[in-house]
Amino acid sequence: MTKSIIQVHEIKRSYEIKTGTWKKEKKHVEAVKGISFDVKEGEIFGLLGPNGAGKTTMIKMLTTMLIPTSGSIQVLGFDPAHQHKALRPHINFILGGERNLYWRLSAYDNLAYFADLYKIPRSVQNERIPQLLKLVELEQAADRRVETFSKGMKQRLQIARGLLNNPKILFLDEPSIGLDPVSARKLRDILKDLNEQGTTIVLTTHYMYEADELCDRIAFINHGELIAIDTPQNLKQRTNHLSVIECKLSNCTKEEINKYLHEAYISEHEVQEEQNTLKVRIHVDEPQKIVSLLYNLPHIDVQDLSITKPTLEDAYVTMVGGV
Amino acid sequence: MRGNLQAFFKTIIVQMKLSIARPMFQFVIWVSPFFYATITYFVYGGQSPERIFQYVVLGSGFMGLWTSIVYSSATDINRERYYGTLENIFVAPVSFAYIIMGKIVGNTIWGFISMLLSFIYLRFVFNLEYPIVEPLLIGLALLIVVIAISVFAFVMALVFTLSKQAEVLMNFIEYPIFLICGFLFPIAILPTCLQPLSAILPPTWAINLLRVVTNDASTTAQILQAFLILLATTLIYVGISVVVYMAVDRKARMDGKLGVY
Repeated sequence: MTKSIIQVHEIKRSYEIKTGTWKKEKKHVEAVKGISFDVKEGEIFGLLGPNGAGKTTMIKMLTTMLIPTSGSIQVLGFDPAHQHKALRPHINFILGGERNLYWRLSAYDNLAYFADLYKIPRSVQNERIPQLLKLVELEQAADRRVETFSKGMKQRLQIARGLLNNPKILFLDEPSIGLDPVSARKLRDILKDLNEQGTTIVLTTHYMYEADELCDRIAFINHGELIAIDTPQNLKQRTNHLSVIECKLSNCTKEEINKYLHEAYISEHEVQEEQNTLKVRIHVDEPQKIVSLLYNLPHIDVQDLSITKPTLEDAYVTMVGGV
Repeated sequence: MRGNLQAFFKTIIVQMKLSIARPMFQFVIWVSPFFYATITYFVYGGQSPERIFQYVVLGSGFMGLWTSIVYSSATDINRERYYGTLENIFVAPVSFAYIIMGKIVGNTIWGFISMLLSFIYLRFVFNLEYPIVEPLLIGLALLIVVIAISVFAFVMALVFTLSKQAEVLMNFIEYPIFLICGFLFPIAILPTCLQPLSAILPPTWAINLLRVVTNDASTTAQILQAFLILLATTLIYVGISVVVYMAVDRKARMDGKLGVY
């Protein structure tokens, strides 16, 4: 049986924030409210949730950046809060976006500097840095300043930086944020290859297809609480009794369609305005009834109607709330 | 230890490259010493050559040095925050202390280059006469001055690590230090209430040491006393820096705001 290399038990993290300009008031905000899970060796584990759910806070606690308020964490047998010095050489992390690099240095100089910060001997650096630049397809741009790089190139350089110390666990916080589809795919391919070579990956993302494609297991978190944790397949099956109806409606307003759906006791729906039409997405147990209701609505034209099985995104929105 | 030193020396090089790539820092190093030197020369124009050396040459040189060091401890920390690299260097296996110290030393080297430029400018443009000093003595004094100033800057940098307002604080302390530490005039002429403040700041004793070792009239006892005062002040700040480092390391991980700018 694969051993668990991250154990999170009843972890809580709260912040104190100050509000007001003249009369400052202190407010206590609980970012993480007693979450427990574990990650097995060799897994790709996803943390999914809306903005402010507590994903980044969790990644920061796992990577020694943040001390929990209560609860316990073990990463590779170390407590990140108190044994951070022993743990840091064995892990690495990549935060999404274009930051976390020295833009005025070349790609090679960035990697060489971070390699020194990870105490990697120069002889190893001389071999590893060209290998990593090749892996992320930046060998031709090795001597260029990072400020001349595209967002995708910067993100790939971050991946190379995150692999400098050959980490046992790589943490990624929204690694594909802002990337074009080709760059995002390239990134996913690199992560899959890394995982096949034995690196355990813990990532947060907003992109459901990314999580579905990459992750062995996923934890949905919302408002600092764990909503569900399972394989993508099993999470989708939890909403398997539902069907998803998607269609376009014209000759009606958003308010009208919301009213009809409300009268039909359909709470899980989303209506988006698109030029002269409304794009409607509905979660239902018995799709036929809704389809006939839609076609019988007065003066309303129904176009491009489809009935599909729930995706991971549908499972997510059903469990987290909303459609 | 070897890994920490490797990172320390690399940080010096990286810091020197990053700093000098910025136009504002280029101005601080290449241009501002000439302004400082010219202004102080005209303020002290009619004084004796010894006084001109002590307050124009050393004073204006120290102003340039101090400006570059304040930049290293405040704006560079904020710049790391802005780049998003502060979290990376904070949680790297190399101790954060070595990284901060490497940054300070990198900028101190630039500061000394700026100081040297100021010396050359005053020597050749205003034909100032410089005293002949014992090379070993001035070398030792400069070494202790670098250590003292770096340790002081290190404490400031640690405090700035926790503050998003580091640059504001930097602007707030740059000029007061010129005045309180007596770069341009003896601290004896400051109001009595400010003099204890001068006495607890290492730059006061750093410039005092340089003045004493470059003064022909200084006795061995005066030189020894100037060395001992600076060494003692530096040791006190080493102690303070250890306590502050441990506190900042924990507080930064309690607050979790290193990435917020």
